[in-house]
Amino acid sequence: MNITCTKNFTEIAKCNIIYIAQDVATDAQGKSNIDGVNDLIVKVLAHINATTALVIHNQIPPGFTRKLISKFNAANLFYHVETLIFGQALERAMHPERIIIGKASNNTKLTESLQHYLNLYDCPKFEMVYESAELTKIAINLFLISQVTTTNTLAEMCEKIGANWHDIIPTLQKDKRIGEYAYLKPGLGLSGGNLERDLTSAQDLSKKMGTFSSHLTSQEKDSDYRISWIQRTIKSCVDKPLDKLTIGIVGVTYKIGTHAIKNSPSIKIMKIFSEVREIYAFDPFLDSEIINFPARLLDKPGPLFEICDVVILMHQYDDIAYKDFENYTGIIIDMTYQYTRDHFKKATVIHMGESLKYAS
Amino acid sequence: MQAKKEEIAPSRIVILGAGGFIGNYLTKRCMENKIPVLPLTSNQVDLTTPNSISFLTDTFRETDTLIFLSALTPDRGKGVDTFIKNNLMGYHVTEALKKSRVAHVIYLSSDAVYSFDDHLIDEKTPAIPTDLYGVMHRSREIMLASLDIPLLIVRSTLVYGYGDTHNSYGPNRFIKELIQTNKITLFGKGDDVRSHILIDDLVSLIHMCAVHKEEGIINAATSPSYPFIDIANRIIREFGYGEIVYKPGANQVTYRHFNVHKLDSKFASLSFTKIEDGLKKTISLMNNDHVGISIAS
Repeated sequence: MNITCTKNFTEIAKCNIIYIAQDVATDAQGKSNIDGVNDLIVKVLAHINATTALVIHNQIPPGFTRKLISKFNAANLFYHVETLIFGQALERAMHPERIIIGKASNNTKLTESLQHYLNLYDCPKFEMVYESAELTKIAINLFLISQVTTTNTLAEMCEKIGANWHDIIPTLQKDKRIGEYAYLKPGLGLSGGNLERDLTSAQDLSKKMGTFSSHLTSQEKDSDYRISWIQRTIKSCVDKPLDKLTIGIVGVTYKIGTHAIKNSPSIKIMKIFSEVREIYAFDPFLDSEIINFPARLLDKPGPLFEICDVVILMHQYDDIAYKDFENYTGIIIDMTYQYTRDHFKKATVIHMGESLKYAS
Repeated sequence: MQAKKEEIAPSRIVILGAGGFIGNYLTKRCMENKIPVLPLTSNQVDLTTPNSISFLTDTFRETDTLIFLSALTPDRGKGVDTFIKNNLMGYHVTEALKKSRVAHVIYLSSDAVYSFDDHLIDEKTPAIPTDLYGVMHRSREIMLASLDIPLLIVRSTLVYGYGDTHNSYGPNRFIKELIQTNKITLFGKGDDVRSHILIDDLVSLIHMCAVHKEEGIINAATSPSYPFIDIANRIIREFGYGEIVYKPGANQVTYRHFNVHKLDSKFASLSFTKIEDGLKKTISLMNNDHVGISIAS
């Protein structure tokens, strides 16, 4: 592989294809800040050749690419939908499921160099106008958000009526219209930043265009509501007042196997329970020496099962021998859905979407 | 809202607030259509005083259609003082109607009863006002709805057109400012989005509602809505000159769009003037006034 890293913008002139792939920052409300992307494009345009293919590969709002036509030749300007998955970036970049390219019009042809490059990937390729491509990423995420919201709504109903959502999941997966990869595991709302970003983008677009989108606002509210499931559940299970409670969390990062804690549900939980007596946490990917952390980070999980009234399992670590903790008598909230009373014989094991009303 | 198929001309229309922008046009429309009209202004009855109750009681007839327009608009004050006066007006009118029924009441309310949390409004959108002006209108709506009198509430969006006395932020102020100073001042980037209805169209709608004895709620608005910058640019294009200057605005841009399918289906014979045509008409009339003044001086 022949890769050169440079800070010298003049090198751009040697390239046949330029990808603008800068990550777009989002705030706590999921609102994107594309100033950085705009600044980068201005710098690139100062050095790019007119025949070079300029490919926008960022999470930008629909309409963004077409506005660049005033500054760059539409025939050479493209939008490539980014479909990376956190924790699988390299794999998804090297072996994409499909490639979606936006262009100025349906009649626009890809440049020879771009066509040649894309042909290196053995996957379906879709060409469409800029706006269709720009909306595709939002569309994908809105469908996923619908699955998350519907799953959580139904899981809550299950808890109330004595049903078990986890018995229902396989039947939905077998429905071809829903499928085995649907998001059917109940959770604590949207997290990670990407879904929230696209939900906000869709709402902003709807406000500007005057389209109906009340359900998007409901989905945002639903997400805020779901994180409080932990609070409601713990309150209903423990006799102690919250300020006497000790909580343990196994798995802190946003996604298992990464170091990222931005938008992590575990961090949200820590903030919700900031008034409890103590919060302990364990994550093999986090340094226990992190300062100003909203919990006491431990370098092994064992103490959580000795001192905590409630242990929340957010990630599944196969190398943790939970057998060692089978005599734990507290409350286990298992968000991995991998553990049952068979693993923790003396604990109360709770899963979202599960009711024990008619279990025996 | 059930539309009465037949048109029954009201035996008389009483207009409270006939001296205002909308009242003037409505009075004229009634006269053009030969509908007996009693235009009442604040000179004849001060609705903020308790005396107005007996005046109205003696004035109202059982067969009247009352069109209640009177209000102190935000340009006359946004504080509690104005709020109280407006609510007193509503209270006095309601008390008069309790003593002396009419056949039909049309209340001109405002889209200020809606929160900006809903960016796409229709008649089912909950009325959740967030400022005193909106609360005032909502209070009056509820006061009037408590009477056992057929009631239509017309929630109007931003009204523009020749003869507007309010100078509210929007097309009329922009045109006036451009004529006087060659510029238009916008708040923020002018991105706030609103619906606009030409005065002629609002009056046509109210008139039609009166003859059809409509009841319920109707949003008097048009679709699509436009950002103020778009309106300003259209006005400048029409004049052929002018520049936009920007002043700091509220932090958050607000959007108000309307789903007008109910208006379209209930009043299919009404066609609402497109913004470009409405602006042209208004500009032409306002410009004539200005030229007239220049020539005269």
